[in-house]
Amino acid sequence: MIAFSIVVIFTLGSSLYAEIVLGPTELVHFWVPFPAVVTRPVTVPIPGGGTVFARPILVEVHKQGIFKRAVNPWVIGLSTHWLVNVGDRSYRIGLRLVDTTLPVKWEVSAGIPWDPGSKTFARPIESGKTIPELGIDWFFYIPEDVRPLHVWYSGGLVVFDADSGETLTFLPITIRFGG
Amino acid sequence: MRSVKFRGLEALRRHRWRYIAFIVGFLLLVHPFALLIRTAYSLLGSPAEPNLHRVCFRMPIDWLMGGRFEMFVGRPLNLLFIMAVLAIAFFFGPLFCGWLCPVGSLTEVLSRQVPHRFKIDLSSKIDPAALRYGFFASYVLVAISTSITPESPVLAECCAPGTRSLAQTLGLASICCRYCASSQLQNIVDGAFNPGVLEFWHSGAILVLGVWLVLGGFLWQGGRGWCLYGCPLGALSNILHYIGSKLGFTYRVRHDATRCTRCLRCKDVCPTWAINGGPKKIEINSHTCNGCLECAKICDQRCYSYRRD
Repeated sequence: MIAFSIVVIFTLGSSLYAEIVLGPTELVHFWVPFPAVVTRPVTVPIPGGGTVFARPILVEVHKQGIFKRAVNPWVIGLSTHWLVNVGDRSYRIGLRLVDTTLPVKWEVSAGIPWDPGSKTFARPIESGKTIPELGIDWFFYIPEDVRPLHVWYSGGLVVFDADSGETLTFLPITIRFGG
Repeated sequence: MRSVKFRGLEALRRHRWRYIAFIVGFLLLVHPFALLIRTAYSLLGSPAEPNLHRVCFRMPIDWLMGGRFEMFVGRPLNLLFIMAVLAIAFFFGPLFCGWLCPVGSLTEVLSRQVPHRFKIDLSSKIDPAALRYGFFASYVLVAISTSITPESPVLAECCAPGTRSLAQTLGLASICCRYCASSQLQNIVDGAFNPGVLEFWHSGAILVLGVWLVLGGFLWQGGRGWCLYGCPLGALSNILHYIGSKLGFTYRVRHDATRCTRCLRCKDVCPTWAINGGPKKIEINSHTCNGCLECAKICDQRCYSYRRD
């Protein structure tokens, strides 16, 4: 019983660490509804049932865990597995990061074909559906001249209609160092 | 008995089919091979990259325990794989863990190269089931509280109602993806082919590397420290194995006390600390036994068998 209790405390402690440090500052994961307005935290209903929660992304680099700070403090990772069509029709979508002066590496794997050149998916996503088997990682490489700045990146992710070019969702992203 | 050296080559000679199974498991599940996932994706017509992440050992348990069944939509492979592993565990024991899992088999093989005197061996001090189920209980608790979203007016002051889960209110977050040994194994293997992928390690990944590979691997007697602590699929498999073992018609490892000379060599080779016993009695712990049959292979008296009642 003592070993069990110690393990429970240790595990819940690691959950706490994940909530305080890992979630908000290291390989931040988020949901992206489209079309949607995400200027503040919002819960958007999904046609057919369920909701998706989205909010502007703020990465506070100074709160990163000690291990990451020791190993690779100048690479900031963001990730999504969930691009959800909350509209009432299907869309073929593309993605774009805006105001990026930083080098950013995209790693995309999805259950439908992805064109890395135009950064668009080949097939439309039906209303209420997500992109199957999706994994997108963005790695922001922070150059030396940017590191002394308070804000390293202030821009966002645009989800656009690949056929019309219309912006469907703008998700603000800020990466900053210091309070 | 503890002075017996159990090095990699001796184990390989003794139980070569199991080591062949390790290689098969690696080829089936780990990118760039991932033959099982490649085949499934080929049948499904999916262009997604086949890798170990696609048959995640953690997320489906999180979804099942949290009641978020909709997460399986669009991920048929996740559902089929987890159900197959659990069904086999129920009827035949956790054979996936003992014979195919690349995460656990890697650390077990590595651990066999390290002399016993350098290893952590608490097998006579604690019940390993306490490690396993302490973690699993916490994992389930967090999974459930993550899926509950209270409509609280207090919460509404800081954000839209319903946007914070009970887990967040309690200051907790999922311990699913951020502490994933499978991801780290896949990263290491990918890094061998493309060092560029090793540029990003987050603190959770580094912690897992320390616990899975070093503390629970190299330095752990049996090399299955992560399996005994941090794997929810292993824990759930053994719960089902335990239930199945009570029903009489399922397979499990058995010990015949009448033949036993109490040499305890079986206890020394058991990677999951599942054999309890001293000079008088040997017991097999169904909560941690993964059906590897190392005990059966080492026993000269043929005390161990794998069969139904």
